[in-house]
Amino acid sequence: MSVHADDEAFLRASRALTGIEELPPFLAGEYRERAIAVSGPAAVSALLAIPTPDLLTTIAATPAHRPVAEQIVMLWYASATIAVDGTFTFGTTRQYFAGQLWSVIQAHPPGLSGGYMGHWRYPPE
Amino acid sequence: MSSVQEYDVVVVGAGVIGSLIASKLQRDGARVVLLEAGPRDADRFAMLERYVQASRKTMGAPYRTADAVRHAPSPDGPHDYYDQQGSPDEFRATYQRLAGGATWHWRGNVPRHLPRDFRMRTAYGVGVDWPITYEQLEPFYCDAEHELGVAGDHDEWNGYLGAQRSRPYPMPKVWPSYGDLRFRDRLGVFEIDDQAVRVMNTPQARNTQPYDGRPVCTGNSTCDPICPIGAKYDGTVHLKRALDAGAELWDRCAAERLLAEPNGEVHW
Repeated sequence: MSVHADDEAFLRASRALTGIEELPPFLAGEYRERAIAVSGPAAVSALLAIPTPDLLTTIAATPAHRPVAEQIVMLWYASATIAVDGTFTFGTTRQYFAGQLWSVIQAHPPGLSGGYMGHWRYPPE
Repeated sequence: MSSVQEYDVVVVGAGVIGSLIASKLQRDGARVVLLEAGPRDADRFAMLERYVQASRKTMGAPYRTADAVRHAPSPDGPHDYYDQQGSPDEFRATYQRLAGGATWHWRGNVPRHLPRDFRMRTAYGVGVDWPITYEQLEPFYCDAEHELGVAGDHDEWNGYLGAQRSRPYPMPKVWPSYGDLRFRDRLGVFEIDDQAVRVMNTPQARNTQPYDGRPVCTGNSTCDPICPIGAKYDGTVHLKRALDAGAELWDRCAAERLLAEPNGEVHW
């Protein structure tokens, strides 16, 4: 699957921010658009302009980058953006089911089958 | 409605009780109409999407449609509607305003009452004794378990604290979770007021095998607030049965008052 150049840059930054290499590329465009919608195009562009090897140290040294970086991390893990009052905004069902949170806690997303009747009987792997 | 229509029975509310009654009466030959204040919408995937997209994943999250949140007229309260959040009632049920009612988001747990529950005054000196006994109600429990489709452990529950069972559950029990098993193993021998505490399998209206045209539960973990596949029983099962038998459903139709005539006729 070909990925738009902006989405590729978004994916590279996202891998660095989340610490997860295997992020689903099909969500890069959707999440980039959501990040722009909540943080603005300038903030997203500024973050993506930072060379990936320097990304984490630059964010740590530049508080202005932190809000958009946090939104991107929240998007990949929980498929949500978060407002200043703490309200979560979720996206599509596909995004929710693809949240990295579920594999981190070794659980299936609520609302999506864990696989088969009785899967809950066995210990976590 | 401009034309006059006649029915033998008008059922107010197409929740689980209304739908069960309508199904039975219609099959027995009565002409039945159900009045339901909410919509008849039963699009499970749309409900799941609303749950996913809700900021707060509450029991009502899948059902937040314009129809479902509209207030119902009620002359009894300070407003002209039942205020679920501000009600002074001790029991603040989370109703849902749509066909099927609150069983959309119930958990499906259906343990029977025990014989002593029917004689609380005699057995424990509290509350009141019921005018009926467990033994009188037992055949109806069996019927209800068959209608809803209950999965349970007959041997475990049969005779428990005197509660005899005359028929097995229609389906084998829901398997306990890994956490349940760990808890049971670690609990060991434990007593409260000289009564041994036992970890038992909760009878549930959740399919452990195909039942009544509905699929097996595959553990979506959202019985409450929404079963995405219909493996858990809800009132729409008997609503569909009633409608298939010829009953009518008027949805988005709130009954505000019943008018009793001297001759016994009741209008709404």
